[in-house]
Order: sequence, then structure tokens, then C-alpha cells
Amino acid sequence: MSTSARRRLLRDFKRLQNDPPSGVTGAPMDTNIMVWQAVIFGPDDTPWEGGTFKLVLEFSEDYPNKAPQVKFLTKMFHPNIYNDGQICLDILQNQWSPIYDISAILTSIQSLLCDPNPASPANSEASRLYNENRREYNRRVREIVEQSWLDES
Amino acid sequence: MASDDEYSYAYSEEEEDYQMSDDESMQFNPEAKENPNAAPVFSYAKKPGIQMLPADQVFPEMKRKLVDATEVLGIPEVAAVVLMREFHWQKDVLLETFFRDPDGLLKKNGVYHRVNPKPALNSPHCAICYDDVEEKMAMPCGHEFCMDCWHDFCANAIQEEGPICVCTSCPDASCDEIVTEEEVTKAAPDHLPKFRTYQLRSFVESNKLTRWCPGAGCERVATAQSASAMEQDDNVAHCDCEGCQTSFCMKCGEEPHSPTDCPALALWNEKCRNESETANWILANTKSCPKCVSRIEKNHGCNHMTCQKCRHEFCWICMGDWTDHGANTGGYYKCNKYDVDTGTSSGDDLSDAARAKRELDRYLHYYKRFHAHAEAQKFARKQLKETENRMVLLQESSDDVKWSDVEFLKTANEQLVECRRVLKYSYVYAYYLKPQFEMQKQRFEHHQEMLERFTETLSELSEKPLAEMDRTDVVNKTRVVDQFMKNILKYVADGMDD
Repeated sequence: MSTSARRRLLRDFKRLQNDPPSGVTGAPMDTNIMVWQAVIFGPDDTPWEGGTFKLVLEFSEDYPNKAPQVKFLTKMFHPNIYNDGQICLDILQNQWSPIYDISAILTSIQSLLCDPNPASPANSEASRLYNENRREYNRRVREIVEQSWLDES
Repeated sequence: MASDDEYSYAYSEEEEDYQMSDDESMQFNPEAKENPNAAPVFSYAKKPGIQMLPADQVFPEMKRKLVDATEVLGIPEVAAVVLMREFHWQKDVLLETFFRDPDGLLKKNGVYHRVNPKPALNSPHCAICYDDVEEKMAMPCGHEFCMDCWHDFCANAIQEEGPICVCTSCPDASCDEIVTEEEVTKAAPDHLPKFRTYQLRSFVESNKLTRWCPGAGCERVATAQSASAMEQDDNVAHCDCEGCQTSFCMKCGEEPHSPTDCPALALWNEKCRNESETANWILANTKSCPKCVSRIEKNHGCNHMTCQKCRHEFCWICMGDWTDHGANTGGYYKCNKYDVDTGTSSGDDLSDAARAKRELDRYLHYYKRFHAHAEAQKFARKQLKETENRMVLLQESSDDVKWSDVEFLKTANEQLVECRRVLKYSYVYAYYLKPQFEMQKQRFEHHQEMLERFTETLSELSEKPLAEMDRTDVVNKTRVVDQFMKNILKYVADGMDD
């Protein structure tokens, strides 16, 4: 079994503790360093404010040469997030680079929340509302934020 | 056994003194020849500019082009690979763009620093694993990483990303500098052979003058000396692979499709994909004997059908009575022509529905014939495989028959395969012929008609039981049909000028 992925993940964890980025947290599962749980907080002064969104990240032995599988556990309403929580984000696919670490992944996803990419819609309804009816879109986002407090999964 | 020479004269050599008019009265007189039964050896003129090479012999060709470009551009070879790839290995086009704005071109293609290297950034740790390591390797862009991380990075790109790995850029997220053979050689020599294979593959695929042989599992490469070597007047860059015996057009990779050209064939294939359900329905539902309506399963290549039940003779293509197809009735083989009036009863109706119906009828007219010849070609191919057995039987059927005396059977069969192929694509050509060329169209259809008529005759002759086989007749018809095939191709090649 390759150890370089695990060593690197341990380093990621240390860096996350020593130099925590604002608005995101993450930690490996107690039993498996290859699977992480993370939380992204909705950025202030946006409809996402106050939300706590849970994610799970699964790493392969090829990390950091391959991006992890990242998925929201909390129900989301966002143009680039599928119903099952999968995220359509370039750095998780073809724009991945081995110099990215977990805090880079989480902060990129956080900025995606308020800055959707209309070119790659993953949720057509969210996409349509974002483009055509921003007021309704914001209302639906705030609904999701409130649901995120109830979600204790 | 007779000497080889006697039996292998090439028909093409005689073309000049054997000028047939395309007049129907044309008869081939075997007595005029020294050797009346010699089979015409079927061969395409070897195109001097195109050759088939095994993959390992293509590598030096790529290397030669690189060295050449490297010298002129004054840049490292690994940078030249990237630029040449981008310009489909057309050096002249590359040079022109390069000298207009060298830096812009280098930057755009991720090789700027390869030509203008930056010093390594010299950070104490590796940006991938965060280890503090002494021995690091830097790209010309200055980004450096430890050897272990470099190895894993290259290995991952080559193994996981496949052929596209030749376009991998620097591990640093914000950097577009291309990772080249230089890095792979130093950091992951264990993966270098694979990387080189991908590089060769990208050479063949991005180069307009090369093409992989489309034969299954074949690793030969068709290589043209120049773009003009691929421009042949019969609309096809004909290639025969010596390795797997596959014939293909070098420009598009499809089966040789003369007289049709590559763009028309692509359009036709696309059209057939879109219309496949309609066409399938028609083909599945219209083939029963026109007289007694019993279902007919066609198990030979010849389109002259005789119903097993009522003995009615008819044409498989137009379903018309076969008596209308022979020269003896004064009516020629006319079913190749699409007649607007018989094609639809609503010739003057200008409504959209009627127009669509007319267009569909027209398409189906050509498709049915295209399909019939495609099927007949398959039969002829199958028959060709069985020909050797038939030849053995025929030789054994009487004493004093030499192997060379039965070879005419194989030649006839090869000729049939070729004629079916040309006939097949002649319908694609006719479908796309512009309506304003009415005269040319009529002439083309005349050539097509002749080829079709004699192909059917030869098909019929060659499918006869061995006991009834008339060798002289088969040999003659083989020659005649070969000439008709050449006639139609030549007519198109000459731009349909008379």
C-alpha cells in the first residue's frame, strides 16, 4: 500500500489545524484517514449566510495526483451541485493540480456557493432561477440554509 | 505449369492501345490477344507518394521532421514536438506563424520557458508533499518538486490519462508549461516507453500525412510524402495494407469510395444513420416475389432473381421484370435512374409534406441500390473465400487442367468485389450530383448502367455450378466489366467532361 497519500493527508490535517482557513473545517474519520468529513459555512452578507453545509471527501491512493471525490451530505440548491450532492467544479476534474490541498478544495467550494458557473449547470431549476428570477432563487437558498440547521446526519 | 509471365500480364499496361469506346456495341475479341484466357490481373496503379510502414518505422520519420524543425526554429526538440503537434506537423504553416510572433506562440502552447528557462525557485520544501528535500527537479518555468513526487506525477499522467498525457502541464496549478519527454526521462524512466508510444500515436493522429491502418489490430501506418500525394483524381487516396490486406482511403479512413469523395461519403453515412429506421423498414418489407408474393431470402450476390416458387425472374434492385433488363429486348438496364415521376405520384405537389415525401423517395431510391450492392459485395467477398475450394474442384474435374487454368475464377471474383464497391459508391455520388448537371448525370447513369449490367452478368456466370462454367466467357466478361469500371471512374476523374 502506498504511504505517500496518507503522509500527505496527515500533513494536510496539520496545516489545516495550524493555519485554519476561515469559514471551513475538516477532519479525517477516526478509523480511516482516506475519508474526511468537512463543513463549509455560508459566507456572510450573502443568501448563504448562517448555513452549515456538510461534505464528505474520499481520497484514493493516487492523492495528490488525483483529486478526491467530494460530495455534499446536506441538501443543496445550487446551479453547479447535483441533487445527490456531487459538485461540478473544474479543480475537482480536469483543472486539478497536485499542489492543491484540502483547504484549497474547501475554500474553492465555498467561493463557488456565491459565484456559480452558469456554463455548467448541474441543477437545471437552480440554474434557471439564478438567471431569470434572482429573488426566488435567493428565497430557495435561504430555505436550504434553514434546513441545514435541522439536518443532524 | 505454364510460365508465370504468360498468365500475369497486367491489364493496365495495355490500356493505351486498347481504347474502348463506351459504346454499347463494344465487344471484347479474345482472338485478338496472344493469350485469350489470361486473367486480367487486377491492380490499382501503385501511388508512389504513399507507403505503408510498420509503427516502429514511423518513429524515425517523426524524429527526422523534429530535427528539421528544431534546426530552423532554433528551439529544443521537446518544444518543437509540442508546436509541430499543434500545427498538424505542417512545418511551413508553423514557420509562418512562428516568425510572426514567436513569444506569443511559445506562450500559447506552453513551451515559452522551455526556450527561455527561468532559474529554479529554490524553496526549501516540495510543493506537493511538503517534505523538506535536497534533491529536487525543476521545470524550465522554475517550479520544482522532489523526485518522488515527480515520479508519481508522471506515472499518474501516463497510466491514468492515456494518450492525452503528452499534453500534461506543470504540476503547479497556475502554470501552463508542458511536461515533456525530458522530465519523464529523468523522473519516471520506467514509464518512458509508454510515453514515447503515446507521442508516436499523437504524431500519427495529428499529422495530416499519416493514418493508422483501420484493419482490426493492425499497427501499420499509411504515410504520404506530401499533401499532393493524397490528392488523386478518383476522389480517393487508395491504400492497400500489405500487413492485414485492408483497403482504405487515406484521407478519411473509410473503405475506398470512388467515385464519391470523402465529404460526400461523410454526409451520406450521416444521412444513413439518421434514416436508418425508415430504410430498414423499407428493406425489411419490400422483398418478396413481385408475382407470387412469397418472401425471398437472397443468398447470392447476383441481382437477377428467380423465384423458387413461381419461377418468375425479376430484378432485386427495382423489383421489375428481368426481361426488361436485357439487351435482347432493346431495353437496357434502366433501374439505376431515379425518375421523379415514378418515384412519386405527386410530382407537382408543392406542399411541404409532398416535398418531404419526394425527398425521402429520392433518398430511398439511392439507398436501396447502395444497400443492394453493399450486400452483393459481402456475398462476393464470402464467395471469394470459398473460391480456392472451387478452384481445386474445378481443376480435379478433368485431367490436364493446370492451376493457372482455374485462376480465372479468383480473378473474376476479385473483380466482382471491386465492381460492387464502385457501384455501391456510385449511388452515393449520384445522390449528391447537382440537378443542374442534367447532361452529365445522364452520362454518368449510362456508365453506371453498363457497369451494373455486366457486373450482374459476371456475378451470374461466376455463381454457376462448376460443371456449367464457361471459362472463356468468364474471362471475357471479367475484362469487359473491368473496363466499364475504369470507364465510370475515369469519367468522374476527368470532371465529367466528354
